[in-house]
Amino acid sequence: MPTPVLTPCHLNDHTRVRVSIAAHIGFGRYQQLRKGNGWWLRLRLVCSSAGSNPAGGTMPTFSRISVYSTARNSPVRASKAGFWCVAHPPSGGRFITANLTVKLVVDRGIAMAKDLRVDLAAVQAAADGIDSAADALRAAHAVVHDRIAAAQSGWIATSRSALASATTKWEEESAVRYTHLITHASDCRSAVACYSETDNSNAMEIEGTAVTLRL
Amino acid sequence: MTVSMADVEQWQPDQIEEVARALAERARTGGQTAEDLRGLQEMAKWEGDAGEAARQAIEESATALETSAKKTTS
Repeated sequence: MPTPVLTPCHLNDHTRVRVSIAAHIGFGRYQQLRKGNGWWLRLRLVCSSAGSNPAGGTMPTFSRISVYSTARNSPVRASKAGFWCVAHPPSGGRFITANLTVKLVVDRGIAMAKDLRVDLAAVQAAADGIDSAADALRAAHAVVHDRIAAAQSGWIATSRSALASATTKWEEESAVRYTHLITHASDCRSAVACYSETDNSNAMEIEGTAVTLRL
Repeated sequence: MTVSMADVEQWQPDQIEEVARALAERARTGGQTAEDLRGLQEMAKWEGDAGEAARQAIEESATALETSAKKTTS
């Protein structure tokens, strides 16, 4: 039995896959996706009757396999328009069931150049860490600036005004650093929300497609 | 601007030293924050373009803090 080779696409550990099998006859249902030497999709195909087969016999024919992944604009398509599966056990042309294992060929070094791995909890934790660092910096610099202000009485004439001017610059610089840091933390949290929303949206879309296709 | 001897005589060395110590503390905390930012292990787990951009932004902030610390103490 030939193993259909599917074009590699943007699959990664977080990609959920649904399979639609447009068969000349019957319908199919995916079973599982497991990771190993490449990506393997175990398919359980059920046909209501046998179709013609150029090689003879009563093996069903499936005209097209479409794999929908959570990665937008990245459908995984079969490299062949159709393939044959072996009916097991033969059932005289009715309700043939076949199990196929389809390898999704993915070369991580090339095809997954745009691989995306995000641990949302880790990014959230990073945001919290940045916030903590920003708060600690602001508090420490505030103490320093207060100490400098208190010491200005010991600076005389022009040196005092020069120190006051420098202190203003230091305070402004500290404020800028703090703002940048909390912006980084906010960006991290926005990314977490965006990833989560996109994942949920795509999952719903895929589930909807699966329902439409009666998978 | 000129500083007269009369001005110098009014300087209070303790207060000048206090500012120097405060600035040293400011530089130390800035450098510590830069280290803390670079030590965020969670950032390393974030792959992809957005993760790379986030790490770059953090590194720029860390570098700015270090540069400021060096300027303060120089």
